[in-house]
Amino acid sequence: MKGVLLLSGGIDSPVAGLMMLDRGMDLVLLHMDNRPFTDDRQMLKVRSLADALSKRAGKPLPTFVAPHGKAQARIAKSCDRHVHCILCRRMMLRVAQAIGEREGASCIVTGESLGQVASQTMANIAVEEEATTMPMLRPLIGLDKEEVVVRARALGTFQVSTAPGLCCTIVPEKPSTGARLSRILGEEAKLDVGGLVAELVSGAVRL
Amino acid sequence: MSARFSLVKTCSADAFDAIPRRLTSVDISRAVESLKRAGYSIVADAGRLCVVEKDGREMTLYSSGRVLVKTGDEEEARRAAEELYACIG
Repeated sequence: MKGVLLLSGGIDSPVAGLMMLDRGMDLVLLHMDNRPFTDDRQMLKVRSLADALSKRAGKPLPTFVAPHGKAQARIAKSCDRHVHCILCRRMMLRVAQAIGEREGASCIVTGESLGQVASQTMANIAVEEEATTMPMLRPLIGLDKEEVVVRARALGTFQVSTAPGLCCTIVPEKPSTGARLSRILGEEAKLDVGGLVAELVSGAVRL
Repeated sequence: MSARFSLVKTCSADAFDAIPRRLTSVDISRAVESLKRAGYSIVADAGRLCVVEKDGREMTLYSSGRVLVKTGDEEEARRAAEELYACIG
């Protein structure tokens, strides 16, 4: 049983990975590299977080980095800014599915927690999930942030995740919290989604 | 102290935000052309914002006029923002 974990530099996704490792799941790690819409420190964090998860797994976990900044720029240039985060998440899921299938994974694992940020409302989660046919596991979905923090401290990732680093700089000021699928599909029609996914998958490198 | 903008240290990174004191709106595609002519490298043009680089320093210009300067040095951030604003008029 293998899953592809979407690993950011934040607090949540390493904990989601930890929980699935502890259930006996094997993991492939995927970081969507947001540069130039973040800073270089995110990559340092991802390396440290991947090391922590590998230590927990008792073996090096394959870790891939996809050049997501290219997709971010095209989404921002072509689409309605209010749904940017949803389009971004859908792109991530498509890349995760492609890399996961290539690496023998059968599901996508994320650190989403219901209602924590704009992309994690029930409506947006449903619209985002439609972009993939791979089962999605969200081990943190019902946890409070403080519960996640406690687990991150126990895993030893909290300090890494909260070290200085630039958050996503392309997030719109007023992200949609209740997107409809028809609207999202209309926005995606302005993009070459298949081409972008192929570009990100072929540009992904193994750390 | 600049008459044109306030400089604010971001809470979680080695970066400063230059916030225009007056409401403004920047045409990013025109700004990109001006910045190119002034010797800036265009790292990314995302329509409603762009990322540019000069002298090894990366900056993000938003259509609201806000400029994010990736440096932990306040004076360097101020100089970089002033130079960028001078280029886009």
